[in-house]
Amino acid sequence: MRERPAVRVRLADGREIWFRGSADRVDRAGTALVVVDYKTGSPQRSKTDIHTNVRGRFCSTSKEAERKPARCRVLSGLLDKLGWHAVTGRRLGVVMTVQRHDRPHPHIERTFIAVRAALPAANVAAFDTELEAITHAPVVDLAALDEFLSGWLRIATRAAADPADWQRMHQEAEQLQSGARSAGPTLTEVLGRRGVQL
Amino acid sequence: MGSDVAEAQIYDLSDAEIDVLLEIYEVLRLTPDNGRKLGPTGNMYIWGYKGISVTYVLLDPQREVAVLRVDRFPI
Repeated sequence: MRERPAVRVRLADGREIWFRGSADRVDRAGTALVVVDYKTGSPQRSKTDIHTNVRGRFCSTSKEAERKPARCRVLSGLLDKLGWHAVTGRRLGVVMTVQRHDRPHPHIERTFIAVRAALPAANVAAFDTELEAITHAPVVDLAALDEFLSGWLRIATRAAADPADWQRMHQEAEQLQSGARSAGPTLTEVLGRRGVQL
Repeated sequence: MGSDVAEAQIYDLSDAEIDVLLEIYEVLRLTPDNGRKLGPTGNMYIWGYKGISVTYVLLDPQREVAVLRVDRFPI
């Protein structure tokens, strides 16, 4: 995407803005394309900051589109011109701005592809189903998409840390649902033994 | 509880983490099927909040939550 010619976006008042840029990274996640903009400088303090940053660069909700119509139209038009919406016949484009984290031991990269690839087979279909539900919305909720990735990264990391226990847990779930295994003491009882009174 | 493992994990939690677990428990009692579903079939969910994730099965028809694991966030 680098060295592409500038893209002209015409505003409602007749003015024109020319854009030229490059994407730090483009991931394919199922039928969606995720454009990631790495930020340099001091780390952001919280996930809220990241959400704010994301929402500031693209309209994640229709309410926001009402609040910042010019910016949203410009960005939507830009994405259109760049062709980032044309994915398998559907109109879909996502721009995420995230802070690059230099974690000391990143076991699984925080990308849709890496997280999906790291998931146990039993959980991949649920990942796909949830991602599809988010990305098929008329307006993609970027905060939900970000939370989705964080949540599934935790799941993949947890499963990879102890695959045998993860599998054992699934077997326990099946046994509970089939009635082959009975539920033990209630959480209230366990907490009571722990000294916590509800 | 759906597993002895979860029971042992709860004993290992700090008081602050127990407080978080109680918050999660309150939510699960009200909306048990709002967790993140772990499989296309079955009723296995995970709910994460403030560094603690609870994996559980929602048992039909009584809609009872059977906790399988109580983990600290791995990352």
